[in-house]
This record gives sequence, structure tokens and C-alpha cells, in this order.
Amino acid sequence: MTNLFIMYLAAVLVPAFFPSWRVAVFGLGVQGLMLSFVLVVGHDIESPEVFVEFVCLLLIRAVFVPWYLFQKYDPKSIPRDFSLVGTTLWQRSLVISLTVAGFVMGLAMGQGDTRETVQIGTAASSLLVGMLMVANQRQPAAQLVGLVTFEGGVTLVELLSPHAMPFPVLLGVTAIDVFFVLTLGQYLARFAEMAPPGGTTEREGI
Amino acid sequence: MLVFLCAAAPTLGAVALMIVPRLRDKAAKPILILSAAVSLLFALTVAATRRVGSTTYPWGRYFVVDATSVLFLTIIAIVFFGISIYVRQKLSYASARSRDEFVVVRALLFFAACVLAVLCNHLVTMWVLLEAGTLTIAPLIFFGRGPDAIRASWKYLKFSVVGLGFNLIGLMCLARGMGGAHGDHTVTFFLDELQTLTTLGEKIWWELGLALMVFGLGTKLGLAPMYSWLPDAYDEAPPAVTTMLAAVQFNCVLLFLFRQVGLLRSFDPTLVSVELIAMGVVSIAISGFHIVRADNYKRLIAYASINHAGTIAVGLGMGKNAAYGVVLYVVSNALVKSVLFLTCGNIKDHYGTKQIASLRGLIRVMPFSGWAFMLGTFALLGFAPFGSFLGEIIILSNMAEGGYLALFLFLCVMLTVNLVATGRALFPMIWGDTPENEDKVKEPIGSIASSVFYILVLVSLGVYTPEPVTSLLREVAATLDGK
Repeated sequence: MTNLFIMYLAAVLVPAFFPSWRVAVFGLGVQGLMLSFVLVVGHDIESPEVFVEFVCLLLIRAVFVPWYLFQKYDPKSIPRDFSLVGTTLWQRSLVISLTVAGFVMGLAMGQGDTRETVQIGTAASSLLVGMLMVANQRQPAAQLVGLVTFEGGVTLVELLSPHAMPFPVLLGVTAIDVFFVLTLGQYLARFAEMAPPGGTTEREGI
Repeated sequence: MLVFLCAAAPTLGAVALMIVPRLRDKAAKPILILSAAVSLLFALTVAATRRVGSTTYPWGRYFVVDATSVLFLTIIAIVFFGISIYVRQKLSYASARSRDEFVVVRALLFFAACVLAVLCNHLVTMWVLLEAGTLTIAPLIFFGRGPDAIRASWKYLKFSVVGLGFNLIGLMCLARGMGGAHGDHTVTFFLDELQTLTTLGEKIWWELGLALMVFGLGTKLGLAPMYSWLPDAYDEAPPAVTTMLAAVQFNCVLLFLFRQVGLLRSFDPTLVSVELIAMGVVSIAISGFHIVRADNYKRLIAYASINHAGTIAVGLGMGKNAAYGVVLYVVSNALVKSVLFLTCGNIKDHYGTKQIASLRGLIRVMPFSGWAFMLGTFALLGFAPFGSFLGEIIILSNMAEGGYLALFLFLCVMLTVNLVATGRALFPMIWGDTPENEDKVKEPIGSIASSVFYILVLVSLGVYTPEPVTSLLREVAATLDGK
């Protein structure tokens, strides 16, 4: 189980350090894949609710999200200096600090249970790094990846509970996931119109 | 089952427009008005036929008809009916007429999601419906508009997703606390079941959950520190969409907060109160600062909305007797914002600017919109006889009685600052000397009918509140005190 969380964290952090749109979207797909594996390992897959949730996570988060975002790719919407968290040493240190802070929180909340500690740490790191991408960047495309990363962290917190959601609620949450990605695609198509005139879109720093 | 027709009418209208292409050209606007009217009719029927103190669960306990849901259903149905009349008039002018159905379908689906959210008895389902409403309305903020509106819409979406994300994390923390580390205990999100629990399990989990839930909903309401989306989105969106955000969605989120606060206050009253009062006080201070600096009338009203959200949060945080004042304030607030934002649309259409300095003598040039704007501003500032006046008085007197003198003083100072700043900015715009070449404008009835409708409801509620309405408000207030 710990390996899955390490893989998940890698899928969050690697794109943060490699400024490429393709790596970022591929990272989102890997996050989705890891989420579905975490569900299978941590829950009773024979329960119909868990099985449906697994299929939904796999199809939507691991397959549909990266496929759809690649489909909606428009060179005008993605700046050449695309970066999820910026490229300065300060910004990269911030990513590492937030990851550490996430795991400190995991230690506090996990209360000695290793699996829970790692899961909470990974979820908190994903949430914090996702929020950093949303808050620190002026590039809408980077913010979009940040939002999906944040949503991944939320799902990881959801998976903390050993109980599956009732079927109607599960279908509602799944529908929202699809609707959310479709809406992001709509915005991705309009980002070119939002780009500030001329030069880099990155802030000068904190 | 009558209550579901309130959601069925807009849903059927939207589906009909989506699947029957021939309807799109001519029927979009009539379908919008018809759906809104049918929803309002059913909402009023449900409110009138409900027995005092009764609670029913119409569909598998996922939905509930109680005092709170009936009150909010009626509010949003009244507001949406007014919006539908306004949209009908304004879409006639829109350049993108061929895309009328885009606006209408999204508006109807948004309203249906809001109606179902208001009726929800399950916290996660309510979350799903609020998120659905958010995703439906977000593209309407930039419909037919330029880069600034797209940017504002994107900002709205980001903050909403993060805010609702925090709320969901809070709910999941609550579930983790209830279920225990190995899922030994039952987990429920049904409100009626949660109300019967004597413990929520591990304290560390539900306290974290509680804090995150309130913080997340605070973001969605435009409370500090996550408030910056609100002035941009309200300012850039078309007036009808701003009204949907400010008076329909705001009230759905508020109901979600009411449900959560009413439920969780019995477990930890201090944590809820401290967080709400802190967010409210900071919001009031920040909005006051922006109101003083505002040079754009729509933005000024947007900042006043943050101020109102702050006052509601402080009142909710106080609990006890302030709860009745909060409920009264909420009802008045929904109508005031509807009047003002829709009137702002009329003013902008005529003058072509949102700059306060460019406008003088509104009441002479646009008599109907001028009067509506004037009365809306009075209600915004909490003048008698509007409900906001009584609501503020009740909240303030409760503060003084409870010994919160610093808070009382702060609120009095901020009310004065807002009164002076808003009056200094808006009163010359309403009554100032009109330029000589400025003739009186004949305003189309469709663009002013909804504002007149809201003002009639607002004034009649302020002058005389019928006993059934008062008892409904009291019932809702009683649920806010952890009872």
C-alpha cells in the first residue's frame, strides 16, 4: 500500500519539477490510476459500490481526464514557459516544504497507524501542492492542473473512510467528476483569450 | 411529491430545449418564464399547506420538507421568477440571440440543482448538487463577454472548487471520526440520523472536519479570507447571472451552512462560533475598506454583499436569540440584492458605464430604475421598515445583552462607515443634478417588472409580516441554536 502512495506522490511532484504540459497531464492520469488501486487495496472490492467506484475512478480519473485534456490542447492556451509551480529555487523549496508539512500533519492525525499516516500525509501534500499551483501561478493552464491535483487529494481523503458511499450518492459524485472535467475543457479552450498581453505569465515571485 | 415539481418544471423545460431543436428559436424565453412560474406556484403551495412544526421525507429520506427547506425554497423560487422576467426582456437585445437557449438551459438546470439542494437531507448529496450548480452557472459569467469576464469566471470556478473541496474534506473527516480507524461504527450523512447521535467519534477528526466545513462554505459565501472571487464575478457577470449567484446560489450555500451549524453546534458550540465570528468580522472590515474606495456602483454592491455575508456569519456565530435576526436578515438580503443587481443592469444598459462619477440624477432620467435603486440602497443600508433593519437590530441587541461589547462597538462603527461611504457614493448618483441634455427614458416594462415585484415583497414583509411567515422564521431560527 505504501508503494502506491509513493507512486501517487511522485505523480504529483514530478510534473511540478518538469515544466511540460504533457508531463503534467500524464501525471494527472497516473494519479487517477493510483487512486483506483488505493481503493482496491484498502476496500472490499466484492461490494458492488466499491466495484463501481473503482471502475469510475479508473475510467474517469486515469483515462478520461488525460485523454480529454490532450484533446482540448491548444498551443495558444498553453504558454511556452509553462510551469506548474515556477522555476526558481524558492518556489521549488516551497513545494518540498509543503510536502513535508503534509506528512507532519499525517503524523499528527494518523495516531500511530502507519497506513493512515502515509495516506493522510500523501493527501495533505497533494492538497497543499495543488493549492500552491492554483494560487502561485498566473498561467490558467497550470491552475487547471492544480485544481485537478487538489481534487485528487480530496478523493484520497474520501478513501480514508472504509465505508463506501450509498449508490445514488456515488453516481452523483461520479457525474460531478465528469462534469467538472468537461467544464475545465471549456475553459481550456478559452484560456488563449485570457492571456495577459506580452511576455511571461509567471509572477515575479512571492 | 408536490415539492419535486418545483425541480421538475425547470428540468423538463431544459430537457425540452435540448432535445427539440424547433423549440430553441421561439420557445426558449416562454419556457424559462413558464418553468419559473410553475416552480414558484408549487413552492408557495408547499409553504401554504405545510403544517407548523412538521417534517416529511418525500423520497427515500434523501430529501426533506421542513421549515428551513420550505423557507429557502420559497426565497429562491421568488427570486428566480423575477430573474426569468428580466432575462426575457434582456435576451431580446442580446447580440448572440441564436444562443438564447444556451443561457436558458443553463439557468434552468442551475435552478433545478438549487431547488434539489435546498430540499436535501443528505449532506454529501447536497454537496453534489451545489457543485453541479456551480459548474452549470460558471460559463454563464462570461457568456457573450470579453477576457475580463472569462478571467472572473475562472476565478469563481477556482475558488468554488477549492471551497467546496474543503467542505467535502470536512465531511470526510467527520465520516472518519464517526466510523473509527477500522470502520467499526456506522457512518451516516443523513441529517435526521446525525441529529440523533450523541457522539461523533474521535474528537480530533470531527473538530478538523467541522473547521474545514465552515471554512469551505465561508469561501463559497465570499467570506474572508477567500473572498476575492466575489467582487470580480459579481461585477463581470451579466446582471441576471449576478443575481443568480448573489440571491439563489448564496442562499443554497447558506442553507447548507445553516444545516451544518445547527447540527454541529450541539457538539462544539465554541469552535463553530469562534470561526464564524472571526470570518465575519474580517469580512466586514475588508468590505468596509473596499466600499470606501469603490468607484463602480456594481462593485460597491458586490462589496456590500461581502459585508452582509459577514453580518450573517457574526449573527450565526452569536446563536441564541440572534438567530431570528439572522433569518430575517437573510430573507431581506436575497430580495435587496436581486433588486439592486437587476437595476444595475438597466442603468448600465442606458448609460454604458458602471462608474459612479459619470452618473447623476438617476431618479429623474430613469424614474422606475431610479426609485428601485433608491429603495434597494435604503434596504441595503438597513433603513426601516425593511427586514434588514430589524435583523441588524436583533443581532446588535443580542450582542449587547451577551456582553460582546467590543464586537458590538465594532459592528456599530462599521455600519456607520458603510452608511457614510455608500451614501456619499450613491446618493449623488440617485439625486444629483441632471445634465441639461439628459431626457427622461422610457423603460421597457419587462426590465423593471421584476424589481418592482421584489420591492413589493420586500416592503410588504417590512411593514407587515403575516403570522404564518413569522412562525416559519421562528422555526428556522430555532434549528440554528443546536436544538
